[in-house]
Amino acid sequence: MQKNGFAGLSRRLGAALLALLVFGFVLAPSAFAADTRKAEITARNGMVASAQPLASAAGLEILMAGGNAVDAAVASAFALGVVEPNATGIGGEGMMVIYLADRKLTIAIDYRSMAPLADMSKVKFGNEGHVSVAVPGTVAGLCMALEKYGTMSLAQVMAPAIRYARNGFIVSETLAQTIKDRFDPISKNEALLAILAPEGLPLEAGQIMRNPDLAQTLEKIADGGPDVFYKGEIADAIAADMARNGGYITKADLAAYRAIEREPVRGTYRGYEIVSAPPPVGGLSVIEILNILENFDLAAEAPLSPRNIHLMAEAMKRGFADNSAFIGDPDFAKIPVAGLLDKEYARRRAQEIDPDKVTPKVNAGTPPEHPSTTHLSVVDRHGNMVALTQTLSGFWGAAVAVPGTGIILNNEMQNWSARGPNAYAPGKRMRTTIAPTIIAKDGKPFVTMGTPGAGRIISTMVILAVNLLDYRMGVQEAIESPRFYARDTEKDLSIEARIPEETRKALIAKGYSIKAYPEFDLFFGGAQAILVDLDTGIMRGGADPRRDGAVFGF
Amino acid sequence: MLKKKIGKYRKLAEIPMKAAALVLIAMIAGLSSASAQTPQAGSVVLPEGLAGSFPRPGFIASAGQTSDAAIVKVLANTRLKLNFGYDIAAKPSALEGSHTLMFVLGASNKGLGAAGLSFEQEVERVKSLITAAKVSDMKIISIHTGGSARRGEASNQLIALCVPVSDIVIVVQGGNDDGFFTDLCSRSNVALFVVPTIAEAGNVLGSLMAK
Repeated sequence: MQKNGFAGLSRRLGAALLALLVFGFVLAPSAFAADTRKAEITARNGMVASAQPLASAAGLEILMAGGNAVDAAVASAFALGVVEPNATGIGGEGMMVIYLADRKLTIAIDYRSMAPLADMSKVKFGNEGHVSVAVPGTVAGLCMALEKYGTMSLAQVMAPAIRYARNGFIVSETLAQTIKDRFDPISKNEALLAILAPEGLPLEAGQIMRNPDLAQTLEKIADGGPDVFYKGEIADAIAADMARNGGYITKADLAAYRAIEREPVRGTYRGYEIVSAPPPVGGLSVIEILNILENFDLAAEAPLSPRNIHLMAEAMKRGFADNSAFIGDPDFAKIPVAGLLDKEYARRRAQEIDPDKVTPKVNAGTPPEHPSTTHLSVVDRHGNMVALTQTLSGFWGAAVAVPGTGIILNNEMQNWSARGPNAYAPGKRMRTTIAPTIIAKDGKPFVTMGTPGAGRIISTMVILAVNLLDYRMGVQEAIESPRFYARDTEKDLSIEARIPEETRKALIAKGYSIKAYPEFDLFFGGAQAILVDLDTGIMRGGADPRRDGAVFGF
Repeated sequence: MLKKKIGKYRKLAEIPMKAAALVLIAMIAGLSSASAQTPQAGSVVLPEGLAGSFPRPGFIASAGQTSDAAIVKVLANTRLKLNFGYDIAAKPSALEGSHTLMFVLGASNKGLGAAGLSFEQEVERVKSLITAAKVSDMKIISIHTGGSARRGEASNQLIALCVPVSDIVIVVQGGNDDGFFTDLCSRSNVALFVVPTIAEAGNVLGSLMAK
């Protein structure tokens, strides 16, 4: 029912994991919602939804061993870096939102990457090669989360990732396609080529991918903690590779890197509390768009009616315009957080929308002054929740691996804007759209969700929230529902091909030009979500068929 | 394994040619279990008249700016040492001195963007390469390694442009799951090789090229 990729691992490992999964499935019955490709998984004691079955299995293994949601999220995140290396890894970065049930506390950990401290203002960053790499934050962020809010040791939670890197895993069609898609830059980097094309040609679906150098690197981190990565021999290897290849990251940059605990952004939508990732990422824009949509009765019509798609597309465009104009690193620019979250501001933005026709050009608004790319979701039996989104920026990041370490480096430096709050500065964190989010009702969190998908993250998060809260869809149905995406800077309304022809015609009549993608397309992200029934405590998990997502629970 | 492989090709090569088309399905390693072994270049036995019939030097160009062209370059030049010229966005003048043109089929929005080409411009560029190849009496190989991901509307349009003018078409199985290439090659009277892996496509290519 759920995809898995266990065949080909060592017999011992395979048997252990199989037993684990059988146990998981026995206790976690599944059900297909109407017309869903994947089953909605249910469980009572703990659940992990991630972009790859082995990463979900890693988190489940930790939950079943008595770990809490943070332990499991960190285990799954390290594992994702091994088994979904195109999208995440210790050469990348991320942001997570954590809810601690016993303290009724929600916090965000910002482990976004950072520009090197050297002046790179004259550098053309591009999207590949060593100059496109920003100082990675993943190790610092995951270690901070574990140390402050976890219960297990680094060695315990990293064990599955180390195992996968050493023993290997089956390459999925999705992963194989991403290797082919960027094979040109990949083939220019010997260390990366050795990982992804050990026999010269790109690994294909069904083959086994191993990364023994990465296994060793992870073991060093498990033994020595994050300092090995930021100040020790791994920092030496990264800095040496940078120096050899015209990159800018030095040991001093790595030593200066810190994960930052931040206050999440908070808003409400139709009586539900939305808690999401703060600037420099996209949670604020998700809430702003929902605030605009709150001015319309979406549930009065079918989810994909031309009117509803139009209203959502118009709200998205306004949210994106404000995102570009106002959001950047809060340590470098003043972000009008309260203004952008203001309900009256959203009402004014909603009034700009003509229900019958598309707005040809959407500009940023004037928010009032106030003083003031993979995703995984985990829930444990205590009610703790984690929503975590990590990225290398583009698939395969900078297409650069650090020789001898198995680490694939990000290309986050491509995300600077020419001007405004997201303009480049040394030591600054660039804006992205990631938006791991937790939804609560009456102070009780019951949804953890998120998605990768570059610019589509914000639109997909809005669609997920609307599907769950307005249309009352099941979690798998909400994830699989056809997606669309509109942005102030793009002329087309992008849609999945399942949106019917008559709806497209109605949208064209409102002034849209339509760009159709295949029925389920990873262009629109790969969402994962867990919803907890607040009355029964039953957890329901959904994973995205657009990528290799999988939910395991027990 | 090798004997079995050759036997399979031979057997298939003896199938009577329906509508004068030759469709060879190379189900060598079994499609359900991809092999991690390295197939030996040049191990394929082709029907008489095809083996070694493509003159060198050759040139690799894309039809659609797919990054699969970089994979085919590795296949041809790194593995098979065929020393093909390579330019993903080649213009007709680049073909000068080459005797075989290999189109790597598949439209990529990212690739088109990187090359600064609209789809319409790409179609015109491909047409100009075909014209130049025909004028110079070059042989044309079309190869598709991108699977179903490189079978969208734009890719299909370019495939339909290149296949009928090709002397042979090589397709990695996933790209022909709907029989699109089979139908097109049959209608165009062009030989088609469907292979299970990219490495096997290399074996076919190695056998096609003159020594």
